[in-house]
Amino acid sequence: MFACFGNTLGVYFNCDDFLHLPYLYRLFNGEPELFLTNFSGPWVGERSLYLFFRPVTELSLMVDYFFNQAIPFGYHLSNLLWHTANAFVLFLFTKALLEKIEVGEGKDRLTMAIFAAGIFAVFPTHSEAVAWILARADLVSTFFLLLSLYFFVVGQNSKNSKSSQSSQSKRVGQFTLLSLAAFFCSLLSKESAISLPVIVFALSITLSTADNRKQKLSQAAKDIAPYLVAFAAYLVWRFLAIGKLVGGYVGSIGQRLYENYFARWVSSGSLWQLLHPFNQGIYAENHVLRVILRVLYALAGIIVVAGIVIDQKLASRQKLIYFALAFFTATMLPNFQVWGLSSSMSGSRIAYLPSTALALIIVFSIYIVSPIIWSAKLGSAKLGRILKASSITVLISLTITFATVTNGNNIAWLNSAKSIRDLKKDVEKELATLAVGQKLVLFNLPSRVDGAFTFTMRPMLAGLFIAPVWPDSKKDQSADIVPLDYHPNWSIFVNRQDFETIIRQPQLYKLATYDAALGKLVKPDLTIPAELSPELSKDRDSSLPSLSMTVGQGTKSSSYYLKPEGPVKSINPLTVDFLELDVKVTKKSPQIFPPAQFSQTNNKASLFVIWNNRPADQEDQTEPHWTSVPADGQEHKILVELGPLKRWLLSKDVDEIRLDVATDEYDWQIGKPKLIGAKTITPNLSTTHNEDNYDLAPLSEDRKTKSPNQRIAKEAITFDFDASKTMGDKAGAAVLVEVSKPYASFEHYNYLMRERLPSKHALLRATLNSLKGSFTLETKPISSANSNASANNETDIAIYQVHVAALDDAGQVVGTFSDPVAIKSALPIAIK
Amino acid sequence: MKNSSQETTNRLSAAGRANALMILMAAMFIALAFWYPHFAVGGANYNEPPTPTPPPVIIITPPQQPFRPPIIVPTDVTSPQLVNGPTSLIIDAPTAFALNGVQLISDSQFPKGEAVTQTFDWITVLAREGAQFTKPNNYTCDLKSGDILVSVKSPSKLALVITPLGTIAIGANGDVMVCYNNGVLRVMNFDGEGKAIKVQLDKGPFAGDADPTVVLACGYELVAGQEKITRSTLRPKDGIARRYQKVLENGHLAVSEFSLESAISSCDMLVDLQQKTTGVKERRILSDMSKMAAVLNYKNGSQGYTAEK
Repeated sequence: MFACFGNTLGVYFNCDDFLHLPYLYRLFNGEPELFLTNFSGPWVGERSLYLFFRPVTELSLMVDYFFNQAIPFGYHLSNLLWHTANAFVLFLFTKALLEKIEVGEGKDRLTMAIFAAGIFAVFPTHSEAVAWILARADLVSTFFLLLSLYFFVVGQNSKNSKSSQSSQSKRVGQFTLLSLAAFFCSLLSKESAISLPVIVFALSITLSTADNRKQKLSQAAKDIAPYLVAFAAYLVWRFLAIGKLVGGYVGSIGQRLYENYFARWVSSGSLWQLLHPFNQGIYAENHVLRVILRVLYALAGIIVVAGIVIDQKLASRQKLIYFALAFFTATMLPNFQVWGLSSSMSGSRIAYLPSTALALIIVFSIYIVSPIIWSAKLGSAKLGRILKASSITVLISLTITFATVTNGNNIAWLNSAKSIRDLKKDVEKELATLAVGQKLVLFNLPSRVDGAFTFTMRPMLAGLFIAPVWPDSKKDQSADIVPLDYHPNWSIFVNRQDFETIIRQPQLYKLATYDAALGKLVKPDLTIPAELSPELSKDRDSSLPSLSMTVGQGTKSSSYYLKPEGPVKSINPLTVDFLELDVKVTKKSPQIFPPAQFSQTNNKASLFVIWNNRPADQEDQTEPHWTSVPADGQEHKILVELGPLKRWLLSKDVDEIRLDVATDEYDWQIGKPKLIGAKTITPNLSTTHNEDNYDLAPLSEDRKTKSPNQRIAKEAITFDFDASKTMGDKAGAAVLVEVSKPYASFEHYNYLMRERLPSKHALLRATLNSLKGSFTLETKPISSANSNASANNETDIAIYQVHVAALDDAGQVVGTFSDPVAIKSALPIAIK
Repeated sequence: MKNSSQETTNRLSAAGRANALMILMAAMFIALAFWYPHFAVGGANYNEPPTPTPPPVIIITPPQQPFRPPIIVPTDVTSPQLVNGPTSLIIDAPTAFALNGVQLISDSQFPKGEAVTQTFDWITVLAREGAQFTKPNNYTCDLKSGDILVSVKSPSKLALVITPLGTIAIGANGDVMVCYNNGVLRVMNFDGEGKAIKVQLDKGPFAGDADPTVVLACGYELVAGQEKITRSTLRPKDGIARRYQKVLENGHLAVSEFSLESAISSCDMLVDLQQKTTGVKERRILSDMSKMAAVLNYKNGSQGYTAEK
């Protein structure tokens, strides 16, 4: 275990860890009341990203903080110990289960239990759960859940003991109480423990010795009744603490996660990734370990078939496999929001609990317990022994292979740790050279390195620069650091206007971008063209080069090469906002059925855009960038958003843009490529006062204090807008203003920074009869917001986005919406 | 032995469901071993957009510019090329230049059926009076004898012309004149976008091992005959000006460069096209061809073409 996970002890803090460390710091430094709010409010008091209730997990972190403060080693050691404890409890549970079912002899039961615990202990999906401190929730919850199951099985075993009836009942009662207590702790560690009553139900049926199905079901119903009562009590407590019954991820992220849950289950390949658990950032497609695992799976398949013919304990094993499958399904289902494993194993912590069942399925399927012997003359005894030994060999080989893969997968977390440590050092160096009144702007930071999370939202980044990670002895400089591309969550886009504000004012802002190839902060070499000056921006389009197009056609795809024509041989990305294309896509009609008119509905094809001289690839930023095009056989004018793309802005002298399209399913006609500057299509929007713009706010804004609402004094925020250049020759004199729901980003719904249509998800909407001017967003008075703050996050201080679009006389949006501007305020109630 | 077998049979039949489950488990392991599924790349558990898999990138290699020495007028005795240049180049030039228009390729490079799309509207076959041909399907023309002009405009992707000597593949935006008269096949590439066509000669004298598959560049004519090519076959009195000829394949095949400009004004099928003012397709064909004639004249020079009177 330690050989496999020992390298995780060198991992640093990551992502959500930076939300919890400041919380724990406050708890031990003047805010002891946080200990109680841990049991009476949402996890870590956080409502911006998620709404969870996990007081027992936080308790374990409190113990760690008490001993380790900001030293990551101790936290990682705790994670490893929790994981070891889980493997041990799984061993106890499996052994007790096999004894109750009476599978094979004592030696077989012991061997099977060791294999189940061993495979679980080294299973490669555990890298994230063990190496990431905040995945502690999975470790602690699994520990108590397995303990609860173990006590249940031991209780069931004591029914058959030779002691008196009353003594048996007493022992069963004691174990049931212990099991219930463990279940309750598991629920208070992570919500996924709600699967336990279902597992107990399946377990009760598996262990039942009743003759008919009705009796079995009746006994199982009786067995789970106390667990359901405990669950109901938990639900009441949770509701009182977080104000909602379900909770989970909030804002636009939560909303989108709910919407495509089913699609993620069936199409993401996550289930495949569970059994081929290779981090693609570490293991190449043709890595030898991938081949070895495939060979072992093939051998396992052969041995399972052999087991059908020769294993006398087949019926018992199949009973156990049915239970393990039920266990697996029950533990998978509660991960209703976040289920999904990426090819770089991001999100694999969610598979931690289900992998206990997976280990059981593997062992129960492969291990041949008792091979039948037909005749010694034919050598079948020897054959049986060989097959049994083979099954054990395959299980040993699988365990060793999984352990090796896991050790490699852990490297992603070490790489991520190195990036974060280096970033902290680089920022310290940059801060030391800041001029008076100047702010350091961080741009293009990674949200993941090799699948290991770094920072996905602003407060996480802030945690790196405030106590306890930023020691009290050092000068607090969080007010000097501005994270530009978090609004409020990490994004592939940036507000283009904010970006221009930064590069136009080097005396106020020192820009530092993260170079993924070097793994460090660098000063970008951005040539600020004259066209970027506000007074010339109207003529920006005329200064852009025209594009020539060459087509390369293959059997299954085509590539369109766009190159600048005329005297200018390269494009300065800072002058471009959109690539306009005339695109006509027709889905190729099937030869026989269904007819073309049926197959063309709701069809979208993907257009991939890539260009040369771009910065080093980051895992977050899909390579290449892509956009959807309706495949309806109609010609569309497509606007490919380039201006707000971080990768585009950091590219240098682009002299070729390539469009790749798949032609095996669609016929593509692409023409009239044209580069466009935003000022003719996208309105401008900014807060009148820079300090109201959350995108340009320093990290000190994300520091939590005793009264989080104290600095929000404003009950109204003023915005300036200008959509006059957007109208072109169209008639109209109105703009539409939209305000997002709390913690919602408009871009999460359509993956466009600049929406083309009014959003269905806006909280507030108003039409102003002017193309240029200002408006005021009024918010709910702070006093009344405070009164109900703990119950409903919509009355709490939250992050909102605002964007505007020009409307023509028919009320249709002209051009696009502006880049959304983020604000941090109480609930917006009116636009005036 | 018998009892044991009976036991096994009983056990397997009694535990039929178990066996089904175990077979399912075995199938799962086998699938894990041998299946190579393709899932969306990237993606993560915080609902980043499900990224589609990018298609393969088609790399365009710049077209190989044929080596073309400057056109030398024999009377220009002051030309340094003529005075100082390598004499052999000038002597061999007429045949060497013709080879610029043809390139031998392997049979596998000849397009197969998969290149054909379902769009056939823009495949046009114009025939001179007396031509005998059939269209077995939307994209194939079987030429028995006579002259035809085949034009393929995008979105149509491919048309095939089957002749008694072989097959001609015409890609998108290609215009080709194919003539088969008295055992002589004549293929003239008029392609409006300067693209090459492919000719697979595998019948008649080209049957068997010696079946050349060639790419024919725009502005070149391929002549293939049942008999050996004669001078009159190579330079017929059709009013089309030609230069640079090369005879290949034991005299059964020849390549020559022709003037597209002269073809437009001399070839009666193309002249007929000019008379039609209503056809959209015809206008497109002619428009592309006229532009290409100008391009070829510019690129390759217009000197040296002669037409048989």
